[in-house]
Amino acid sequence: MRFPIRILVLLILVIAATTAPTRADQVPQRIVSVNIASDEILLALVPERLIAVSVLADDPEVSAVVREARAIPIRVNADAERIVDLRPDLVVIGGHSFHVASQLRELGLRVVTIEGFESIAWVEQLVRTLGQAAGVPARADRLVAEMRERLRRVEERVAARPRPRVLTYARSGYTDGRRTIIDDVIRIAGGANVAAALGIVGGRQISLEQVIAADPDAIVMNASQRWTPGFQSEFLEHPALRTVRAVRDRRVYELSARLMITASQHIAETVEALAAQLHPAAFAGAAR
Amino acid sequence: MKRARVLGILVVALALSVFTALLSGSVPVPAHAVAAALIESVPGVDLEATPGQRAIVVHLRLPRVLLAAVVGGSLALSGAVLQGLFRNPMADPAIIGISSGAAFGAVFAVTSGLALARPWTLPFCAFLVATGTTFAIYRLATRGGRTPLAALLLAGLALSALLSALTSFLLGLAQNLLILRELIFWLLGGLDGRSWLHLRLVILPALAGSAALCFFARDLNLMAANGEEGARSLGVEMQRLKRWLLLVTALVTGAVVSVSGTIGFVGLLVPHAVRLLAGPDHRILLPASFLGGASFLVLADLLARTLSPREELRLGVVTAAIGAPFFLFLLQRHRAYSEAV
Amino acid sequence: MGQPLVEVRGTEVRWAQRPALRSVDLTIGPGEMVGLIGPNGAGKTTLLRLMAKLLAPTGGALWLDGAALARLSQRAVARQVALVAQAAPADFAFPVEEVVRMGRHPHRGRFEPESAEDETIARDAMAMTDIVALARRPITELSAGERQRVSLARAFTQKPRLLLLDEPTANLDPRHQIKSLECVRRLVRETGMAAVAALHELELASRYCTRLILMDRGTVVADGPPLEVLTPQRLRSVYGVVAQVVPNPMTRGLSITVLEASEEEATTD
Repeated sequence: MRFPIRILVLLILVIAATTAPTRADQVPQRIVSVNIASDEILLALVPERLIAVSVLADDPEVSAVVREARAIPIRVNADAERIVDLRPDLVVIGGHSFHVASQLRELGLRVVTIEGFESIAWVEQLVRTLGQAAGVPARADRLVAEMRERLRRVEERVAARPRPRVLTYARSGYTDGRRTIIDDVIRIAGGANVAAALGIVGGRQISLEQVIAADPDAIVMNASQRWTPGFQSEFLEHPALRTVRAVRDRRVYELSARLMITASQHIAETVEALAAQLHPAAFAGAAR
Repeated sequence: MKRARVLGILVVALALSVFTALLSGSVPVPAHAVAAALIESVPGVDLEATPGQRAIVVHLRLPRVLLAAVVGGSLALSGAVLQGLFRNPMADPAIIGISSGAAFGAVFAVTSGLALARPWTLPFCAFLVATGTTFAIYRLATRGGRTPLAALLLAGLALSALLSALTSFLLGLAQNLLILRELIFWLLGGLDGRSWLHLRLVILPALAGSAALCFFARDLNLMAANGEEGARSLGVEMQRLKRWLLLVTALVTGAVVSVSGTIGFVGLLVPHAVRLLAGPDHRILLPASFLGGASFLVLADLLARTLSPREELRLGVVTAAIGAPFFLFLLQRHRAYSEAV
Repeated sequence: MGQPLVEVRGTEVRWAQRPALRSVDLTIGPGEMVGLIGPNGAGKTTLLRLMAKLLAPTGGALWLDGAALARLSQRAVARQVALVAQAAPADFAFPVEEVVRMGRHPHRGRFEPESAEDETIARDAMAMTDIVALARRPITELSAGERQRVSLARAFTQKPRLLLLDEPTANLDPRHQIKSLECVRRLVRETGMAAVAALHELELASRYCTRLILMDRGTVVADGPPLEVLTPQRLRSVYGVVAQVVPNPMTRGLSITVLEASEEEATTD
């Protein structure tokens, strides 16, 4: 009775193929990433199953993965219709686009939202979560391990050195306090976060008066012609800031925007770059 | 003489406001340090201020407080003038298109990248469009050498609506969220980060223009008390008066709004309050409005800077928060009065 | 009559094609008290505004004391001509005495403070219009009639050579109607001021004015002493009423009794 068995097998295959896969079981084949952090992580974990990345992925000012993103044909932003049109089986989107996220969920899509952005431990967790969702937990663990190794090496080099007091400063007076990724970055790179010391939690505004009173040893600004053009020079020319130590000692550093805002494994690069600025002697001779 | 007394009180109030504002800020600076920062070189006086404190007081607080005084005074004075001209206690600089013009100029300057060229290009664009708008309103409303006030009002409404729409359109196009945030902050009004440069930009047109407006006190009295025709029958050259008042008011408000962003309620509120205290005679009302507006905005800015420890409030929000209850109070008073009559 | 104070020659005023005044010719001399009468829309207000230089004619010209009105500044006109149009508006709480004093404005330099003489003139004007008791009150608290008297006092304060009045008795009670017109008449007699009053009350007009100018649809229909102008035929053709006109020996004016509306519509002369 081979004929009926063949039919049975065919039937099973057909049923299996046409039945919507149970969420937890299936390994997603068509992944859509709508957030630069997940773009960077997923391009490292599962580029072969990634069908679309966010529009920001191509912008060298904010993306660490411009080259890798070229392999992905489609660009997408938080537009529910467009995303659904791509027939994804996994969508990774930022928590601030909650309307789109809930729309997609209502349509039966599997959505992972990214929220928090509060520490490097959080970044590690994100890599693991995305690895799990994409069906490649082992690769995720490896990525986290690599990241940790890089961070450890930096920590080693700056261990014995005195920590300069560092303040990050962005347009409209925003700085990074406790419970931000940058806070961890500063610490690992061998600095002391002035904003955290002032009790600031999260990304908040700080007045110029407070900047002057805090008198940081170094100021880190985010350099981006397109996103914050002209800001740095405007800031430095302000006559009230001449007395600030960082300005006097010319320790006002710029890190590219993509390093400042990344929330993926590339944060290791940010730590390395900042550490090289804060402790140049420790990194002299290193190929950075 | 009543006039001297009222003005004297207001001058004292302004001085007190300025002192208080200099003493306060997001960073505590003890009074002696403030004094030391300001009067550095008095021989024999032993006062100490760290360079940081000096920077805060002289380069941050002082220009900002003075700017608040100039902006507040100019807006209040302009409001008083327009209320007398339109014989409408609800008039304020916004009706001649200044606010919407300045807003559009600023948003355009930033989104087009012009604002990056020099630190003064943004205020300059705002000023240009603001005064240009008033000029356009004047031209639209003038027919056969006459400018009916009703036509001015309508033209003002129409042009303001158009500019607001264009401004919103530009804002909607912005992809750069950081710049968008900054623009919205500007539109809500504020003196954060303003320095001596900004004060230098506006002080001459604002003060000279304000002084010029005070010259028209008598004409405004005639207009306010007798109406347009009545004033003309008493010898006022109405067309020339309207032209001058509009031009100078546009100059003054355009200049200050270009650095402070659009701040509401000062031009509306302060002349009302002053009128309640000092009467409708513009010879007192105009200088008193200037002084009152100056104190008001200095104090409002102080609140904006110090009320919340976490962030600075927008100045326009503070003035609105004070203005709205005041208007409710006025409404109550008016209702009580008309019910009693 | 010597040099006329006001000359109006061939004057016309058009509002977007419709004529408000058609070819008006008249002169007013000093010391005349002229009543300007006619139905609504006759052009009385337009004529008064022309004489006060609040309006420019679209055709023809006016002269004030020999000088072309078009060439005089508003201030120069205000020194000689006062117009009492409507009651003073009441948006801002100026005290009555201050509003009255504003009448001196055309005579003062921009920054000249008020002189004692100005004070006296204003005080006298307030006495004449019976508002001394209201001197300190804000104008916003006054009734329409009281504000009318304030406007009148202000006009007196201007010390004009030509006083123009547009419905000066409109809001006044009978006592103040009589008093106001009596004041004007006295000033006319004592100072040689000329007065032109647009009046609705024909009997009052006939009583106080030595000359009546009757207007209808933009033209002057009759000009002369009241008895000659206010004939029953005129009343019928201009006002569209049947009326009886009888000299009143007690008022030395006319008594006009309107009997009924006439069958035909009023026709032009």
